[in-house]
Amino acid sequence: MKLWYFTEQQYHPAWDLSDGPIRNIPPSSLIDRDVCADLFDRYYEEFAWMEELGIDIAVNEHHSTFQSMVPTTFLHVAALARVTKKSRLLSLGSPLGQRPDPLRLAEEIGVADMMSRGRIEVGFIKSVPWEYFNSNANPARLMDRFWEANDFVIKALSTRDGPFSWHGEYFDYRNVNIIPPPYQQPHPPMWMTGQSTGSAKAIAQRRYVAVCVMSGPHVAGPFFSAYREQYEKTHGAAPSLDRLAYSSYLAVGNNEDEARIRAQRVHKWVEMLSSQHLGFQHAAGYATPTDFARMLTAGKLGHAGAATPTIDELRAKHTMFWGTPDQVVDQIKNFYRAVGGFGQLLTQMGGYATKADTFDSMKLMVKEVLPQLQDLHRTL
Amino acid sequence: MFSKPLPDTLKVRDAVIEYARLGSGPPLLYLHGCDGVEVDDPFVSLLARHFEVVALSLPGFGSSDLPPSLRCMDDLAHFGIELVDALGIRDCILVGSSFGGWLAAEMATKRTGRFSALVLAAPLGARFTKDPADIELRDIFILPHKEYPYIFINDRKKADAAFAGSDFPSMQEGAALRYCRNREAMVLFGWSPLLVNRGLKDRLHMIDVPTLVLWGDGDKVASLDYGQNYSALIPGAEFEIVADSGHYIPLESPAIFVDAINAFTVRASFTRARHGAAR
Repeated sequence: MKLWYFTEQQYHPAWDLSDGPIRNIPPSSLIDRDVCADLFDRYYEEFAWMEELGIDIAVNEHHSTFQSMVPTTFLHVAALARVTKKSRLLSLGSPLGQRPDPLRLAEEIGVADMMSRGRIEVGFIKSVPWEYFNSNANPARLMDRFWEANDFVIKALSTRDGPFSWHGEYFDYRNVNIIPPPYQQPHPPMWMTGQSTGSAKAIAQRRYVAVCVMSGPHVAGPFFSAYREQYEKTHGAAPSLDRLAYSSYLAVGNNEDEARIRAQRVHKWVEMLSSQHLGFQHAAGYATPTDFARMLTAGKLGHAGAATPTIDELRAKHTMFWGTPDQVVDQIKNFYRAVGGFGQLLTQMGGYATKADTFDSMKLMVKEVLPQLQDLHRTL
Repeated sequence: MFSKPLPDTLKVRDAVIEYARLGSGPPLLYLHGCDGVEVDDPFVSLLARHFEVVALSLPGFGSSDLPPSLRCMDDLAHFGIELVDALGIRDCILVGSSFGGWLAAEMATKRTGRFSALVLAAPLGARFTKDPADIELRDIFILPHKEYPYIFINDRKKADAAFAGSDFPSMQEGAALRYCRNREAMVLFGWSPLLVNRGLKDRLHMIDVPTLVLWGDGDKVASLDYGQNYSALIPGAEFEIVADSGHYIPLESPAIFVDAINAFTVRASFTRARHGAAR
């Protein structure tokens, strides 16, 4: 099992200052510049610690929100390329449907991969509906644009024999020539997030790593299964376990009381997930009209959403692994068997978890949890 | 507005378009606002007392197909002209409300000779201010579903009737899907730049048919000033304020809407006849 430490680099000090949502509309004046700069120092100390532990590092991006201070992953991937030496660096990911200029994205990937001597992994994501209000990218026909951008970036990264032109439905370039190209040939390993069996199939056809994010086995099981089936159909062989990844919240303690306190701190972020202005809740076009109508008729839009699950409920759903090292091993093993196995685990902390919580949890993961997961594939 | 499908269909460029044709009199083509049209909308039967009314669901709206070849308002305007031909309407009165008013204005600027008169009820599509930070048109895409209807229709009872109370779980089958298709089509054509085609303002002077611009005095999407600016750029256009009405004039003030069209078309036909005699 390959372990990634994943952080959103949140600006949690403002969560209690905003008397409304933490996304889209709260003013940036709620950010104290020194506190903010200190937080970046802390996050980079955490990254250095992860490298010392031998853990790989994943970053994501969000926009106009105190959920994350990363408006483009490659700002941080490039910084990490210089302050780390060994860790692999995963961008998870770039919201392809929102980037108006995939050429610029390919250029950013090329530079970051070269600077890191080939330690970059690249994820593409659909993103969330409320961020289309910030990027202004048109949510209609978003997935058509997404796949064209994907095809374009792959060609741009892979082409080494001079310029090519691209005259697509959504993107038009007369002279594409990525300099520097990525260090890895023909391009860095690719990842994509998804939830549905349809997206699993599309990801499998491209041999990308498929990531299921905080979804539990009832979603991840069919998702992984559809991936395996399509992969074998398309490529004539079963995918290796490292093609499948799962992302969960995490809190590990030396005893259950300590773990519970840490889990509650991480949970503060889960409470913030529904901190949403209702006007930004859904952008028509983001989901198909059929899915949009299904949400409306099921009464899922127009209100703040269901109550936040407790840490015990999250543990039961396998969306947060938390407890002592042995408890976490059991939880991961149970989940692993329920979904038919996977090869990469991304663990997210954040929320009100302190630097010490983060350091110690991840140390326990590496020293006590991970060794017990290495032969998991034999249990399938 | 969006609850029931329209009864008939026709094909244009392989796209199936739903429509209704009712009443008798001079032909009138109605282009709906952001949320579609249905035969039970009260203004439709009122119009049908005076005109042969064709009301349709534009591509992507209601149950009408949305061909991939339609990417923007210019594409839609050309498609709209093909639609007029496919419907076999000659010399018709072109009437549009809100988004449909925008489309009607676009079609009329092309001087195709297909229209005898133009009625624009709170049309969108132009931007007049020079300050990029000015908010001229309300962002109809940033609205909670429960507040959405009252931006378009001020009278809450009429708004609830038009939007079926926004009670999606209780709506009749297919209504929620039609609502969602309407919203998606609006996003395709109006998301960015927000409800504007940058070229339209400088083409409005090309409109060469008698034009009436109606504006509700309580419009929450675009102000009276906006309406006056719009009207001023269309040669000879008449501008009428509709009292106690919001943005969807046909839905909020159906009788005034129909009377205004009726009176205007009579005036316009006299004018045309006079011009014809002078020639």
